[in-house]
Amino acid sequence: MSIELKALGKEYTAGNWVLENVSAHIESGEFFAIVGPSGCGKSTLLRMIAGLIPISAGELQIDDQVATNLPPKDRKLTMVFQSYALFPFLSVTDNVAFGLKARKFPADEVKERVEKAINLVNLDEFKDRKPRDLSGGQRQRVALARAIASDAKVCLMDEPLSNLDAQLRIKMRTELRNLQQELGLTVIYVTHDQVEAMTMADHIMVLHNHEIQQIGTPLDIYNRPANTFVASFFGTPRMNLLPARVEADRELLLANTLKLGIQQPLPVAEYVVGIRPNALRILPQGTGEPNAQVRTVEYLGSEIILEAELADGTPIELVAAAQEIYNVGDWLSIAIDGQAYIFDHDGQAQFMVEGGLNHARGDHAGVQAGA
Amino acid sequence: MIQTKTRKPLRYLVLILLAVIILGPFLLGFWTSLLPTADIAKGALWSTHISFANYAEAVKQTAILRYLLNSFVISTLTMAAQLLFCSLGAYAFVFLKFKGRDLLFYLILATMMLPFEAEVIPNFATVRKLNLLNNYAVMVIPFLTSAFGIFMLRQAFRQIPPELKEAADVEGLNHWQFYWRVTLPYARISLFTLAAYSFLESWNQYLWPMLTTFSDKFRPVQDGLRQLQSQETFNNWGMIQASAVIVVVPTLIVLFVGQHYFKNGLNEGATK
Repeated sequence: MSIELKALGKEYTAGNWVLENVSAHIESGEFFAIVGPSGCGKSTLLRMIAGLIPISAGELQIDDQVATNLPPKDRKLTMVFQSYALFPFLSVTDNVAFGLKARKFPADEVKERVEKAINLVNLDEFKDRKPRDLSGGQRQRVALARAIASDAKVCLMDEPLSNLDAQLRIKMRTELRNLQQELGLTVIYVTHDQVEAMTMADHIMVLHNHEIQQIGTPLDIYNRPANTFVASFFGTPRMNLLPARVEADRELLLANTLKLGIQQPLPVAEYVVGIRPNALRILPQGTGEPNAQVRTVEYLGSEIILEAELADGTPIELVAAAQEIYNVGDWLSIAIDGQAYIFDHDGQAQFMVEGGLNHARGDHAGVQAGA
Repeated sequence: MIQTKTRKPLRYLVLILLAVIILGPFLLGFWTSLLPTADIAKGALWSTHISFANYAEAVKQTAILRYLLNSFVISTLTMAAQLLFCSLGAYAFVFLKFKGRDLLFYLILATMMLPFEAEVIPNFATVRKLNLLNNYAVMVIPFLTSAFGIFMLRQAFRQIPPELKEAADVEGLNHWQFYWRVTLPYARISLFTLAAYSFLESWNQYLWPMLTTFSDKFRPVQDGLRQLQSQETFNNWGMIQASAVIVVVPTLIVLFVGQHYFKNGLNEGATK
């Protein structure tokens, strides 16, 4: 069951597009995540695919059949909601059987499917309970079982884990992914959590400002962000975005402080350079010129996150080894030691350079990140 | 600490006082229903001639059983009709989208502001034209639905999480199926409340049946009680009290049974 989105659009009032020109191809058996900040239209897109919200423009194909105007029940899909949407007056078994009964499956098949689904999500001992007697995680499992029990091979999930506590969420992530693989489900998964998308998805669609920002594998998106939004949205701590200007023929000056060598000349203009905190190195005391002052220190156990200010006042985030000691107000000497992404002033990716301690090594080929 | 120590007994004192004020007349009525009329007339309330003779007499001499049957038929029909029509109306106001929906709803709400007494004369003219006087129909048909019931159920249906509707849509439930299989069970507490309310409302009707019924065959209890008093020049107070107690019993049953369902938290766990 592959799904094809062809230039989908949604407007609630004429001319006011909440989603525009959304195109994507979702393979059968794929785990496809739609990520974006709240209000970016990701839930709207999911509901358009489900048929709960009419599509204003474009075409939707499910299994090579046009489904743009099909009623939800004929799209052969199931949906798991953020709030679970369980029927409070029905037991776990009846909740799971609800859709099958509505679709008039024969009784013995309903029984068999329901038992199998409840077993898969490990709820056997709770099958006669009402939702109010279950914990959040168990309720979420009931919602999953309801999707599994259906014969539909496409499952739409709308932030299914965001109501769970952090530990359970991490556990359910793995379980969900394993279930999806085991059953060969095609999953379209909406989330605002970039970590969830990175860890679970085969492909990620990043939505922002009513438009697709980038579609790619998690590695692609992390390593080759198409623009500053994607670059800063993925990865914790966030990527530093520093203003830059052309200083010499093959050199950029970042935030009036750091120098970055580039392998190809750039036209003189304003640029933004993205550097992940782990691509910045703090030089040992006494080497190099101090160029940043520590503002806050966060101990995470395995590492330390430092928020610092460059000499010209631009904030920058750094990671440091846990055994070192930093105090607010300390002056540090930092240097680029890793990948740097160069974006034009509109935030579109230009190319990437491998920075090595102040001097770019020209032999690294620039990677064009499809701008 | 001091505050809570003195406050608690004070609260109970107020509650006990209120309970005495409310229950007093009821207990007095019940007590007098056990006394012979002669004692009541003398004002000898502490009489020891207690018996159920008044009850036997009420059943034998008056049409009280017929009144009970009439009221039971009328109240049950009214209740069933209100549950059906109010829930259908409320469903439309919550789950169907049509032009002028809100305007229509406010119009219905506005009828709540009109006291029933103001509608009596036009309604009477209508039912007389329809030839419905002195019949069960005349006491049921004007009360088939109620603005209050629609309002109350609309509020209850609005509590249903939109995700439940979406989940039902994905499974392909049509409006009738969603109404029957999700909306009604979800709002069952409100439905029980409305059922109890409309039953009692109908049971306690006085003005309308007084105007529209002329024979014991269709007269409901409240008007029947009034009838007992005026039939004879000498009022058999013991018997009248006994009849009044008989009439109150179904009310108490409805409230007692109803209270069992008015528990909170039955809908927990649908979402979150």
